[in-house]
Amino acid sequence: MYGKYVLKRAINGIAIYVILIFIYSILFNVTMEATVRSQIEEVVRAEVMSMSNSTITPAEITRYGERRKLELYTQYKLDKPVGERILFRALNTLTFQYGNSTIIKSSSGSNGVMDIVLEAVPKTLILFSTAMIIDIIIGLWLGIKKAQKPGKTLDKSTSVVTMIVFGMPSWWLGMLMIMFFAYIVKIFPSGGLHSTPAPEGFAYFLDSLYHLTLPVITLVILGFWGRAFLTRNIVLGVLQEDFIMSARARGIPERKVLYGHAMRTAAPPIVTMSLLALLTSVSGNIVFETIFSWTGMGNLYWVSVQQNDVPVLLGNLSFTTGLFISGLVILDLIYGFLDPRIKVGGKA
Amino acid sequence: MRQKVLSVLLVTFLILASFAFGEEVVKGPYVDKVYVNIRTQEEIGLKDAAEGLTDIFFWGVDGSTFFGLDDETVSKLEVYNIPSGSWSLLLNPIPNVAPYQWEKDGVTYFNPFAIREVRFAINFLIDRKYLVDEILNGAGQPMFDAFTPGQPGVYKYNLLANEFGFSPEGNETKALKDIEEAMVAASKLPENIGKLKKGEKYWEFNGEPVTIKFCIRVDDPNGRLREGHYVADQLEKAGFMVERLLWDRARCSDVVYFGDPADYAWHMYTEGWGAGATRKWWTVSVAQMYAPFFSNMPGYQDTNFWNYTNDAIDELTLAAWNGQFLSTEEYWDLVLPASRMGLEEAVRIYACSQDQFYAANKDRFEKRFAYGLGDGLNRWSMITANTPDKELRVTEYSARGALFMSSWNPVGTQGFNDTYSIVLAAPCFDAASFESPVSADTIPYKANWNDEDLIIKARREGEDIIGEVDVPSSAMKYDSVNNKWVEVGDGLTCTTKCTYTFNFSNAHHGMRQGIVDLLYIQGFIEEWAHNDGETDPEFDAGYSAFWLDTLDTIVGWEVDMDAETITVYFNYNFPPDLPRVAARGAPGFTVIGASKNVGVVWEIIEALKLIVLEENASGTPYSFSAASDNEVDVLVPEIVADIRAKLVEMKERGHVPESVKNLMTVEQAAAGYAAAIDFIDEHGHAFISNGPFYINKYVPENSYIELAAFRDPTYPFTADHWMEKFAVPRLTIRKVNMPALLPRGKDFEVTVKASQIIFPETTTLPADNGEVEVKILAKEEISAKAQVTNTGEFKVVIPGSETINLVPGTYNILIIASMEGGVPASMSKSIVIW
Repeated sequence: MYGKYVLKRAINGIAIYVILIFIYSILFNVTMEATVRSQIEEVVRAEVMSMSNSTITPAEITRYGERRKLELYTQYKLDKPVGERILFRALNTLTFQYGNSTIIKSSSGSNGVMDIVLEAVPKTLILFSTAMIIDIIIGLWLGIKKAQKPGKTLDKSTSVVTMIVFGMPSWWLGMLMIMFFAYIVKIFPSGGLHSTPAPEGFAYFLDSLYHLTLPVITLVILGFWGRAFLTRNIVLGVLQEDFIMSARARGIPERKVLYGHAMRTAAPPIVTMSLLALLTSVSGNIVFETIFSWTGMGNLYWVSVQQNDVPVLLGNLSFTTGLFISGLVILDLIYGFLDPRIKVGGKA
Repeated sequence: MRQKVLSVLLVTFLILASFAFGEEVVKGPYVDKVYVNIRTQEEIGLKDAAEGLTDIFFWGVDGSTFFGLDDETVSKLEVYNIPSGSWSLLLNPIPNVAPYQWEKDGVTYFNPFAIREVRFAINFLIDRKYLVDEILNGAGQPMFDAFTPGQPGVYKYNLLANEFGFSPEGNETKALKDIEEAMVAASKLPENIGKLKKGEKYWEFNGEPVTIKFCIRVDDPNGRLREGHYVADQLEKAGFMVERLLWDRARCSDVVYFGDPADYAWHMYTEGWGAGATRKWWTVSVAQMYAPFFSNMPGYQDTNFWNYTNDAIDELTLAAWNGQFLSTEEYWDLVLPASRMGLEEAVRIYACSQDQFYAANKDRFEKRFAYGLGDGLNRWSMITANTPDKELRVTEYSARGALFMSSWNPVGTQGFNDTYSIVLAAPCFDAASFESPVSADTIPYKANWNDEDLIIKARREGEDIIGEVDVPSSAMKYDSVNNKWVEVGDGLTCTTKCTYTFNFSNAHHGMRQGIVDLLYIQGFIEEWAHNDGETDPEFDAGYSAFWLDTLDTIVGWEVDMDAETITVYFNYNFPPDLPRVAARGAPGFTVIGASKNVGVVWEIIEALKLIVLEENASGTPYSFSAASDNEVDVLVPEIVADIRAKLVEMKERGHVPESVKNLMTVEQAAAGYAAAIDFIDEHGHAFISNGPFYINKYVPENSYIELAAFRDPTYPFTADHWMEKFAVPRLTIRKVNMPALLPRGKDFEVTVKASQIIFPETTTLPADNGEVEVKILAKEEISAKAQVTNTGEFKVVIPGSETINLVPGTYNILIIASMEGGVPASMSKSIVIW
């Protein structure tokens, strides 16, 4: 029974993944065509313009322009029909043959899409996943504390702070943090992953931590208030259930009621929320990464859109989409395993 | 006697002491190290520079970003602003003949931009000062033609604008009057009678408003979007309904640049252009922006499209570009009339230039460093930047966060194809000659020549220029089929002969460059640019496209190995600028197939060639082409490993390149390979060049690169040398006092207050020399030159005996201030003579 459930969920996940990849491929190949063509035209014009200071003949410049246009059309595969491009890109992505980028290169000079994506992933994981883990820990702890004494000073005061912080754009707080900590008190760097020149050995590790601190603090400040608020509401809702009253009536200590009874019930939505947040963190954040010169997945996505680098875009999105769908399927399977009611096609 | 001996000894001691304790001449740049890091946000890069976290933010930001900085931040920055680009309006003039009607899908339209007078009047309709002051916040200058203000060589062209009476503020009244007259005249054409009428608000054709479809770039919200709305408002004042097509670049380009003007989908477009490098000669720009043959005017020479044509402009610009002139006067007689026609035709109308701002920390530099008037901070900035601790921290702006986006391929056509590859590689390479970043004058660098060694003899035969310099039969040319240098034989002539000496010095791996290096480089270029048969492995079509025409101008080389001179016989002549002619013939120090000043030593070129042609350690099928997935790169560790392995193999098998095999022993070649291997082992990359810096460390995983000064005693130049070379003085006009009204026959007195600036400083001093000329732009121009009265004040008097001959009316006055070697400054005013 469970095996069938697993198979069905896995097939569903794969089908959604395939559909999404085809949608991405259609979107990028069709909508970007005009942009890429005009970009090529501008690039060639700019190059010809830069040659106009030299002593090159008109025939030479004309030939150069035509050749460059042809080269770039071939590079972007614009010499192929759009249907062929959509199919080619989608199938290659689905078979994990990401191929080479059209423009973007990895730091080591590789133009392999996998190399480029795998270079960005750890940077995002280090920043966003670290921040998310801290955020989850603080958020859970504070949420439970708030739920324990609803309406009291801690709950009220932190709720006000939540309302203020939760609506803050991350880039704005990021800028404020940089202005204060990098330019006024000057205790943190203004961005980047390491110092220039980067130290070696253990000092390099410490230097990386030093550079990680300010963006992590910023993300945590932005994140944990909201998570605490949600946790508080979930736990508070459970604490008002009859079985909790019953437990209290039986004289079970409040601490045991909270962690032994209430949290067991409240755990699934909190865990789901936290795991989804962790999965989301892998895709990074375009603006935040830009502010902190942190070249992770968000930055890679933005640059590949700017450069119309379709292979990298597809590589980036297929990676994050695949991870996200896999996470959802795994969560589904865990729930199915833990709670037999939601097995069999999701019928409860 | 004893005293004499003592005196001699004392003098000798003092001389020796002065050598011993005298200031040591430091070769190369001022700083010892350059550290480079990345910021992905412009504002953070600027703020880092202001707060001393970096020394230079090596990226030009536009006015809106720069003016967004707070005063305190700006006060901590030394700013280098340059005109980095320009805005123009492109008009669709279809059908460009009376009765100015065009039929599309069964509907006949009237195109007002088909009337030359209407197009020309737009020059007066737009207030360029408004665009600069209100839209660019002052970060720009009004522009009347395709030639960027502030650059050398634009002065003569910009005088044309004065001839036409263009002014920054425009003249709306005149424009509306001229347009009205042109439209009325058009309405009286038999084909338009009864159809073209002035309605209540708009001109109407067949009862419908005459409509301008105006493509406005919406993806430049603070710039060209506002420009578009302003111009559209002005056109509405002239009685045209404007359909504002607020589109992004892709859509605008698709319609305007890829579409047939006959589709009648657009009438006007807000174009934008980059400035590029510092220029002195604008021959190509005249063709590019006004001549249809260049494929940059509506129709773009696509034979399937309707095309704007102008044979006269084509003829003049082609003649200028192809060198069909024998004197400076003949040159100007081609390009100036072509520009004048381009302005009169007004199919492309320039609006303004746009400034970019580069910033450095004010406290870290004693004085300003050199930069390009056309391209901003460049290799010269790194060479002439001087910090107290001799360390320079440079911050790049890179959205991707990567140091470079293109390969460091020192051979192919697409190597070093991004801004930062060039920023970092160019200070590591010295070319044969270069164009000054301030004056665009050609300056000998590794190659030298004397004026008397440059001989030009040519005559005209019909449209052709025929060379009259005899080429000795013993002159050599590389034969790519037989892979050897061969004599050119008897009976050849060419236009130009020039003898070059060289500042040979050690390259970064410690081996001295010499004549053999130049022969190798020339041989390599000839080999890869010529197709010696269908299966010639040493041929690259793209490479050939870049080099072939240049190679065709070379007739032969005479090499004196002992004196280390090369006499080049070639076909190129440019009478207005003889150093430019000499530079064209100079043997090069690079084989790269692109207009990039980057090169590597012959050992690396040969190793690259062999890893492309032969098997290599990793078995990767390398190519010089960017279209390949395995383009060579002298920084990528895996490719560097293959280069190193090939060098080891070359050393072991006693490889000597074919093109120089009679000039180099196996031992000499092996010593070169060994030195290159040692360099790679020490620095981890194969970018071995010959310039004032070398790449000391490159750590790709940390996106870290470090440049170190090349302090080799044989290196010929110091940073001081270049600062002195670039210290070009120029005058600026501060104020002009002159009467607004003048009776005929009375002396016309003009007082000009001018200041003197020495590049790259911005501090002005009252001018105490130079020349100021005042011209009354009448039918027969009247001019006079100024006398210095007080420091910084020039007084010009055009006598009454000259003004008496003027017909009463309004005249444009042109004031030109110039200093020898500097870019002239000009200002225009107007006066009413009665």
